[in-house]
Amino acid sequence: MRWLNTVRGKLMAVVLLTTALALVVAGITMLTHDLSVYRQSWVSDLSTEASILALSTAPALAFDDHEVAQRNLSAMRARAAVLVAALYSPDGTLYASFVRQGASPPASRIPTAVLGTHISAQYVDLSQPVVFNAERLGTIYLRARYDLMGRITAYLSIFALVTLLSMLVALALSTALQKIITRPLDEMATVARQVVDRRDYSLRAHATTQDEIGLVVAAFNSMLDEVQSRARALEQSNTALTGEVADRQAAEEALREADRRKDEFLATLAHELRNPLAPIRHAVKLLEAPGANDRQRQWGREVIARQVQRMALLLDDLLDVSRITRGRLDLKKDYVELASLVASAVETARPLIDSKQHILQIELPTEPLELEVDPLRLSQALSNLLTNAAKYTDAQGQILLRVSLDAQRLTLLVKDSGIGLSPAAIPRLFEMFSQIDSAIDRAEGGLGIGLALVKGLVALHGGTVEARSSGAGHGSEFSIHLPRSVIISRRLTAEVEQSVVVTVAGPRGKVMVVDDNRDAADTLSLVLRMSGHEVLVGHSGKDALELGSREHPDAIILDIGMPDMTGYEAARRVRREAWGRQVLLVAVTGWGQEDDKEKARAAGFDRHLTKPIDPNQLEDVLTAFLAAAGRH
Amino acid sequence: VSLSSTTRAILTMLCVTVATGGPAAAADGYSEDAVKAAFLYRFAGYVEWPPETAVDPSFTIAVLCADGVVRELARLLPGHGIKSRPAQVRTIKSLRELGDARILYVGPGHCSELSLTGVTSRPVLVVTDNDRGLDQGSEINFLLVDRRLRFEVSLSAADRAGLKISSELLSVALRVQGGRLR
Repeated sequence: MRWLNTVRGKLMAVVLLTTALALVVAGITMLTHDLSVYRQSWVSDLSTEASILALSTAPALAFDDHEVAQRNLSAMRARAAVLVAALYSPDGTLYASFVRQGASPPASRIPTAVLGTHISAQYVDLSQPVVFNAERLGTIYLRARYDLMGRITAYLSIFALVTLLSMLVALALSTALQKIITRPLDEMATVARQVVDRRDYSLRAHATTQDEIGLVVAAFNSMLDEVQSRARALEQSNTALTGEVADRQAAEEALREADRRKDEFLATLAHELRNPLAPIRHAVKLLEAPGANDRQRQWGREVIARQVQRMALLLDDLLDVSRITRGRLDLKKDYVELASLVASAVETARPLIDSKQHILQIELPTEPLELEVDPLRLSQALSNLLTNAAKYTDAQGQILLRVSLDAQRLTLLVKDSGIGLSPAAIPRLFEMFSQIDSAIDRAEGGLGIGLALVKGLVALHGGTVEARSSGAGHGSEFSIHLPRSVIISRRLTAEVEQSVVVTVAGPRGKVMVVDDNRDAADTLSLVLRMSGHEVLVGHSGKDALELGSREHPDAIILDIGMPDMTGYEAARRVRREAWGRQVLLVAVTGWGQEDDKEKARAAGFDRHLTKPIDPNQLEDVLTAFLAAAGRH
Repeated sequence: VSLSSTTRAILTMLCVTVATGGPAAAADGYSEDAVKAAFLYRFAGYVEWPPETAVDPSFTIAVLCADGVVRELARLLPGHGIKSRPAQVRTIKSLRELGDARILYVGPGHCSELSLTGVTSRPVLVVTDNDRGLDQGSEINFLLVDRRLRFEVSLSAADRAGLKISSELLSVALRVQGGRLR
């Protein structure tokens, strides 16, 4: 019964069973009807026969003609079904008879007086009176073959033939028709098997019909849609979970790293706080020692002051970082000249830079830029970078500070020729307590919070920090990027010419800048201050004379065109003063004709420079003069 | 009831005749005359008379020269009809007494010499009982064959008399003479 497991087989079975059942019911009904009709017509035929026979034999009976009676009965020979025909006298005795060969003869007396039809399994017996002129002349008796079984057998054989043919036709027809039903089912089954085998939920069955099977196919497809979308969702959530786990692992790792760095930081902090204690203790012992002379006591006091200062700075940095991380540091914004800010930062870092005999090169935009920032904090950030550069660069190294401006931002770059950074160290450079391992052993020490402080301070200004290095031993670059919004200068120009300030570790002096244009005076004074000079600023000839007599500068840089007196006049007056005879006098004019230079020389100027002043040239002049004067 | 009793009587007669044959029947009292009477009665059923002759309300069988048959008929007919009319038998001495009778039976013996000329053209069924009966002009003539009563029919006589004789009667006749149908 394997074939019953397929829809095709079941359909076939249904068709055949239905056909067979219909045929059997129809056959039985028709057989019953046929037998009933057969019987009725048979009886009817036979009684007609008997009536005719009665009519024809009536005269023979009436006139007692035995021969005629015999002849009349013999006419039944033509009726094959009639086996016996007999004529009985009114008193019941046999008068004449016809008996077909092989049939049993009739009774000599009429068996029962009952007239009518008697049907047995094999025979139909029929008795009918012979009446003429209301006179009963006798009884006619017929016995005919009643072939019920023959009839049924013939009927059944026809029925069997019809059934066989019907089945064959039904089989052929259903085979052709079931394809309409089974093809979409087969296709769906194939798709279902493929889906199960390959786990490919993108497969779809094609609905070709609009009937229930079409509906089932459509439902199957939409179920596949559902399964597919769920499988996809599951996959996505798996991916998301994997990602989440990875994130958590990374976070855990980061936490562990932070913990490790905190431990290291604590160790470093302890070390850093303890470091100054030894020299202080020695100094105190020296101060307490009875045999110490003044020079030794002086040294002790200086040691204590220096170490205390160092600790104070350390603690200040710590407090600042702490404030930034807790969001407690408020900026005190103010308008400040970029050059002034840079000068302040350079001034802070200068002692270390000088002590290690580094060459610092500063590049600033020529045009003055006014910023709205917290001057103290931004300068602190910049000086931190400079200090770092100086700290991590071996003696007599080179440090470049370059301020540049593009369309988006203002960039303060500090580049050194120092120990550099490994690429792996860069990403975490600005995090707290991330002192470079290789740098820990360096004499400078430190808590490793400098860069974190820089980052925090710059971030407070809306800026970002950046570190770059070509690798260990190849120097490093640190940049502070500030948005242009910090610039409030009225004289913004898209392209800013770079001026170069070269700071050499040369002699330093006291320089006075006199210019009625305050911006010009300030810019120049900042440049000079960054070069390490002590700078005085005046805005008129009178200022020059007054400040000069009080401060005794080494050099005076005089603008020629001033309202109260010309530069020439001022120069002549300075030369007349006792302090002014040895002063280096530099004239600054907007024009540089030979005539002008001659006039300047006559007025007592040592040098004549034209605007804009090249800081390098000025520095060369100053250095040469100071060196000749024996200053350091 | 009366019909059935008549029938029974006739049947009884016939049965006796058939079972025992003529002489035996005669010996048993069911004589040849009784059979002849029954035959005469039955002939009426197979013959049609012209309608205009139906004036007499009764159906009369006239018998000439056969007292035995008259006796049997007289016993058979009373109370019974032929052609829906009461039947009666009348003995006549000459043909002039025939009257409205429909059937005339002329007995054997001397009567058979009688001329039937005056009767044959009338609508009367003439039944004779001798060897030359039909030649005399009768429609039916009794014969005794193998001790059994048979009869012969003359259709030409019937035509002449204006009578129609049923073919059924002809089928049991011993011989039929001059019939257009035969």
